[in-house]
Amino acid sequence: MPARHTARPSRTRAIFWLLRDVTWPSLRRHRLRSVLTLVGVVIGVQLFVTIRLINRATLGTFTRTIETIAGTADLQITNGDFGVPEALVERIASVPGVASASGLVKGTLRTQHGALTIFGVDLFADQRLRETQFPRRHVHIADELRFANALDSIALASPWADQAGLALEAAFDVTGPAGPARLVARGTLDPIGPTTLFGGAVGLADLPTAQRLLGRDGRVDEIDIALAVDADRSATTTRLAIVAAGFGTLADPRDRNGGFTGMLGGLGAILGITSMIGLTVGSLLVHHAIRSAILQRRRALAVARAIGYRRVAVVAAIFVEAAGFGVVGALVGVVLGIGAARLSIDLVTAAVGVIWARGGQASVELETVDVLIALATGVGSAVVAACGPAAAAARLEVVTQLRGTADRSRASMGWPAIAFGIALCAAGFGFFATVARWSSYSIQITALAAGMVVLTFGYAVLAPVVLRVLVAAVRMIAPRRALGLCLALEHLARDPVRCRGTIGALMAAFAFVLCVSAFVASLGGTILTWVDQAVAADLYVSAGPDLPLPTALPLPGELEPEIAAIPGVERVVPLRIILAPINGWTAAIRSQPVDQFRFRPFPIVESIGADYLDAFARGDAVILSENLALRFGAHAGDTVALDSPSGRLTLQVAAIVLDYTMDIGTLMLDLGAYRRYWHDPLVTSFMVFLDADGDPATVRDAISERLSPRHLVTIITGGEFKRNVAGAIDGAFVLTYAIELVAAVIAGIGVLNFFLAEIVDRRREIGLLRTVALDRAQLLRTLVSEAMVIGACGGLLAIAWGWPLARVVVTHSTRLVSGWRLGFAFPWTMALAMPVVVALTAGLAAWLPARATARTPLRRLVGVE
Amino acid sequence: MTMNAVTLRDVAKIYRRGVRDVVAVQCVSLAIPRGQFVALMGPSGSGKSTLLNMIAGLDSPSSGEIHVDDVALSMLGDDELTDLRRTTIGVIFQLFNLLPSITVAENVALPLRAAGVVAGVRERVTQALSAVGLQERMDHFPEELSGGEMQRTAIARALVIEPTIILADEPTGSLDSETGGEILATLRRCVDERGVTVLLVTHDEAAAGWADRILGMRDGRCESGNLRRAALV
Repeated sequence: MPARHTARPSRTRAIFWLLRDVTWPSLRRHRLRSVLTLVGVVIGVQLFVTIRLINRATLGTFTRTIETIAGTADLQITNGDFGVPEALVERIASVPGVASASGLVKGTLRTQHGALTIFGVDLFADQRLRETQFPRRHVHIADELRFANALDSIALASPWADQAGLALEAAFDVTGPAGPARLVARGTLDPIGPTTLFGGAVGLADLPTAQRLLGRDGRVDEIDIALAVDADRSATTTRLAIVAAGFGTLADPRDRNGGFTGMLGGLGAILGITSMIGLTVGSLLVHHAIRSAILQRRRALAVARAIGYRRVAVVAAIFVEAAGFGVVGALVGVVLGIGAARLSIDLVTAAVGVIWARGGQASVELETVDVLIALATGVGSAVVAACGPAAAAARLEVVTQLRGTADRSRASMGWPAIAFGIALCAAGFGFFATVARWSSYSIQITALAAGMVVLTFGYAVLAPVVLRVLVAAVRMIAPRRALGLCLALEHLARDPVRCRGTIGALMAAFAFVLCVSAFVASLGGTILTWVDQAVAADLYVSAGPDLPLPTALPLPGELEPEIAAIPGVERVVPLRIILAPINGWTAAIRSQPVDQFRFRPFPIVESIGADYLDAFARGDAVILSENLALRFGAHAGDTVALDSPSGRLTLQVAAIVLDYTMDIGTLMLDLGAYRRYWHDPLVTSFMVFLDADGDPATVRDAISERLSPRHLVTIITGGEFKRNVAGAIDGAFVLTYAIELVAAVIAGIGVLNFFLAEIVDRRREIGLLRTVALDRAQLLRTLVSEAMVIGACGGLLAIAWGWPLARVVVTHSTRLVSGWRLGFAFPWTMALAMPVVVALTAGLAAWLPARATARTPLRRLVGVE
Repeated sequence: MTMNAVTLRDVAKIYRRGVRDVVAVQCVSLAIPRGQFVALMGPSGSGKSTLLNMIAGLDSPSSGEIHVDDVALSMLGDDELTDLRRTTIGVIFQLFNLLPSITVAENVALPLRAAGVVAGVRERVTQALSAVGLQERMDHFPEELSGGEMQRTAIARALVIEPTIILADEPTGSLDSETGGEILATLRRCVDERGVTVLLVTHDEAAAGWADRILGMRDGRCESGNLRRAALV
């Protein structure tokens, strides 16, 4: 070999010139398609970024709230919603190594100007901690002694006070858990620290005032502890743990987001799956777009190969192009992701607030790592999507392309491809099958996610086979005179493989829609059935419009006899629900009289025996929801330890039942036992049962008439309660519905992109058809028919993929995330309409490029490229 | 180094079409000396383009040996074959195969860029375009050229790497006779002035008349040729 043949020019330079001379001009020439390719990456990344930011902002709002309130506290003692005895503050302060300890209560009051969060602190206690939470220079109280002595004093955040028109010494009415009260603004707070939380609707009161308003007599929500500078942290923590044992959990406030992470885990997992499916759809779209681009460029690439560009340079240029789309798409996706997150964060936190826990104002903040992950996601998905087209370019038949007589390339759908598709599907189902075998939650979630992605691609690989079968079936029934449809079918039958990416994107997007609908139907169906079985009442009386959950304002327990005395009322069942730490996990404690459990028993999974309610009635035993029992591996007969104001309780598990109060799990206690141990007279909601003559509307009016002057009460009927439950479920999925729409738009863009590429690619063929046979309308019908058949195929596959996907999400994912056992409900009506809906969507998306083609002058169609 | 630019020994090419084999080229042996203009004639489907593609390393023979500049192509991998095309062999196609979105000069510069040449690209491109009389059109796009100009651009693209061999596959097939004559005259000059070996595939006898030697192909077999031009001179 002559020496001059062995020269190795710079590969990078060769790639650069290929990009400059072949790729870039092609991208510029097909601007719309290039933009649509970019859109595929953008939407995938944007979904990913939005969901990541929302997840973090939602969690961050709780973490930030805790940390801001805690100030510089080194340690904190908390005990869920109930709090810890106030008397503990002094004992904690006297522990060696503790520099300062102070109690704090926090709660929400209703005012005519909206919700007001008040903090109650001991204004005359050690100021070292308070100084970091409510610095003296930012708390403006003219007469501190008067402020503390008058039990109606409050200092209001100045922006909120200004907005509400409350000047100093102005009086205003509030309603809290202890009933109505009148407060007087006797000070202002600068918007610093905790005053900036909860939208700035914050007030500060002396501890006794806040305790009275919030019904926390003798209790504080948390004890903040500052350690002495020279204290041995470990030894002091041990001493504090001994003192706090039985009363609450001792923890670093910065570690307290763990409970919220668990509480929001369900939402996070659902959003995570949503994001992954969005990425998969985007990736399929990009795959198809790059494949189309390479098809269009194959002759130029053949020329490049013929005149001296190596195969590796051609392949590398394709990957660089894909990576370029990935980078640009990721950056645009990040920007749009931030915008979408900011637009939807309020919706999400509102939904979270109703069901899980109220936090402050969530703020969406972008970190460098988000951009890096978005870049990796965008580039990664684009490069993976480019693998197939790059392999096709590597196999390019140079001679055939250069002859200029080459027909449009037709990838074969041989047995190896079918076997590969089947293998992918088998692997996907295999991942699903192994989920239950893993003990690690993260491995289970990973196996689920891997199964979903692999199965999506498996179905996409097999899509041409399904298309071929569909085309054969439609051919049998298509009328011969429907020329457009017949030509479309003929074309699809000739080369079904080219539609793979488009069908895959349609399938994934609409399968996702089916999956979400199935999940919501299953969740709603199961919960509403359970409501009917276990918690249905004729009327519900509570302090606010929200559901009877820990987030709702409580009412005084002494209202029970007043309600019971109203004519038409047969029974009143007080219900108390609070959040509390159980074995380090935040769960709900649901307390109601044992008689209610006898009247409407929860569906039992296991129990210690038929007389399990006897032990429960004595207060020696609890009932666990199945999801909480699963989390702890608890069974009937086991014991569970609970910290209560009466000290640590060790109670037997009398039964495990199906309960859907909260996905974090519920521990049920007899209300009498709860009040005995917790000294808590408040009630979250009164369930009212009417006698045979009781008319719901009349009784509701009577209750309202009796309680409204003193208490802000909301009375809803059983039907309204169920509608509220359904509304809360819908609210939790509001973002998911929006993402469903985005997925459908992505799929529509996929079809549009496909036809833009197709029309360029088939210009001569279309020109020939126009020359010899078709008028413009027929050509339009041919192209739209083709799109509709592709859409119908995507719709059919969406059912075939959506059903197992939904089944896995409803049964496996939900049980993994929340421990809930859901009855599977698949929206068959929607599913059966899916092929028609997707066909119409595809037809609509193809309409514009098809119309433009039909209007293109014939000389341009048959002209040389 | 031998006197032959191209040597073929018992070269055959068989394509598989479904269950049957189609013999495109069978047992062709020939030698093309350096600096000779050879025309390969034959009817459509006789295998002449297939033979040319195999010599260019764009296709591989089913059996037999092809040597280009004393190098056995069967010994070369895909990258080495690419190197051979970017340094030794210039290929000209019937359909020009110019990239429509870049200028004439950029089309001509493509092989140099593929070879990693950085210095003097502009000069070499100008020189190649001057050789085909297109230096005035270097900043035009292919769609602004006539058919003859496009083919001359393709020749300039082949010449710019200063090849020792030019393989031309029916370069005048898409052109009128006058323009075709200009193209063939250009190729002739390459042989006469630069000592380049040219293998021209054509089914046009007038085009073959520009060659030193004409080889015939029929049903994949090569028929003996004669030194037409040598006889003329």
